[in-house]
Amino acid sequence: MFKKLLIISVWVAASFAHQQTVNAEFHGRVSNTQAEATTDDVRAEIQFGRELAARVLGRYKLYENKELAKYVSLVGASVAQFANRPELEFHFAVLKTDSINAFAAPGGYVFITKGAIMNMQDESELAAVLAHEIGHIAGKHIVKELNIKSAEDSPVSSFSRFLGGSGDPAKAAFLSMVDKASSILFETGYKMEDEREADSNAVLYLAFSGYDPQALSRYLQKIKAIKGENTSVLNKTHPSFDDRIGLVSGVIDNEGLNSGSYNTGKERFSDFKSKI
Amino acid sequence: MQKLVRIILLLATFALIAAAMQTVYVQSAKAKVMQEPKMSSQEVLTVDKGTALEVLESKGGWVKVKTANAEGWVSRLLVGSNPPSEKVTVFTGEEQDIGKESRRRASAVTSAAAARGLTEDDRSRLGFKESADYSSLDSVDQIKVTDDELMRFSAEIR
Repeated sequence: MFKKLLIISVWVAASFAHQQTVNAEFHGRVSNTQAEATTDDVRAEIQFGRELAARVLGRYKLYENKELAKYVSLVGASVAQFANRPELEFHFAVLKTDSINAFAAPGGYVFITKGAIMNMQDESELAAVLAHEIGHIAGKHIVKELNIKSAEDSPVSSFSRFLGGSGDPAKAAFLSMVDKASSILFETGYKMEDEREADSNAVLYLAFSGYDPQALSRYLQKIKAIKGENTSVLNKTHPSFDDRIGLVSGVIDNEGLNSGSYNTGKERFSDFKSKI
Repeated sequence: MQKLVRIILLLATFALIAAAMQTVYVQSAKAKVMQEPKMSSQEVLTVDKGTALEVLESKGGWVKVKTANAEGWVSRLLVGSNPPSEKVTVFTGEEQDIGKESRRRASAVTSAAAARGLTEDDRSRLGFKESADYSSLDSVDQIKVTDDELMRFSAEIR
């Protein structure tokens, strides 16, 4: 009996060691969005994101059309439910500019320009662009990029400290961080690896939500063909169109998403686009 | 003495078994469990948000999991180490009720101002000149999508 128990224990220990390897690989590969973030950390992310969102709206102005805003929000929410950020309420809005662009602020704020929508042919293309921006929020790209050092060595927990401070130095530090985030959105752009992650995850979000996974590739090819003055901001802050189209095609091939019928939502989209 | 050693060994065995099991939880409204680690493979079953899945193996962007009824692969993008959390809000007092058909109450706008964290005076005093439009931000916050609306809208996509 004792010998049997010993054999079982050795087997369990070996299984444990194997499972720990699986666990380590799972945790290692899962983006550090899975790292422990407290409710206060998430609140701080939202607070920060709202300040950045207010800057976006200060620069571009809100396109005031409630019906269109609701429609864009529904498309966005259809995708965002697969973003692995159940603690966030995502908000979507259209910006009053003919330039072709979209922006994401931490905490769930996603913006798309009127110019971008006017160059889309169906709802899946709208979903694709929103999915890319959702990917930036899901990946906490701005949160990680700011890399604020703290006693806890956690960029996100630093926000809580700044917001908790009531004096001018704390507020100045906070605004300085928002300035850096603005620079990422409007000037320097995200890291290329973050752009790639947002693109590859966008394809998967589209597939999860039932939209045509080829939509992002179609849209990028269209915008590449335009290459006019209004796309200059987009080109400055992203990898090349060819790089992006190649990456997206790779994801589609790997996941076997190049066949099958998907919904493009063309009719519903055309109805709303006609009201712009 | 021998009996004590056996009991300890038995307890240690159970502890090891418990520690070895890695559980992940579905974070999205629904998640498809596939036969192979590929989006185009056969679907085994669909699981709901919050479902606990035992992890058997990891491969690229996929995790092999076990449910009460079946085994299969689920995308890492759809699961997390902890049960899905409730929505977090920065609006105190007049909290948003996301799941129901409720209108935003007027006093929540005041809460929104408090949620800004900074005032125009702050920005001006600290010499930050880039403009910020909080009024439009409030308008953005007022556009809500209820669970029912999302379900109806999403149903038309699939």
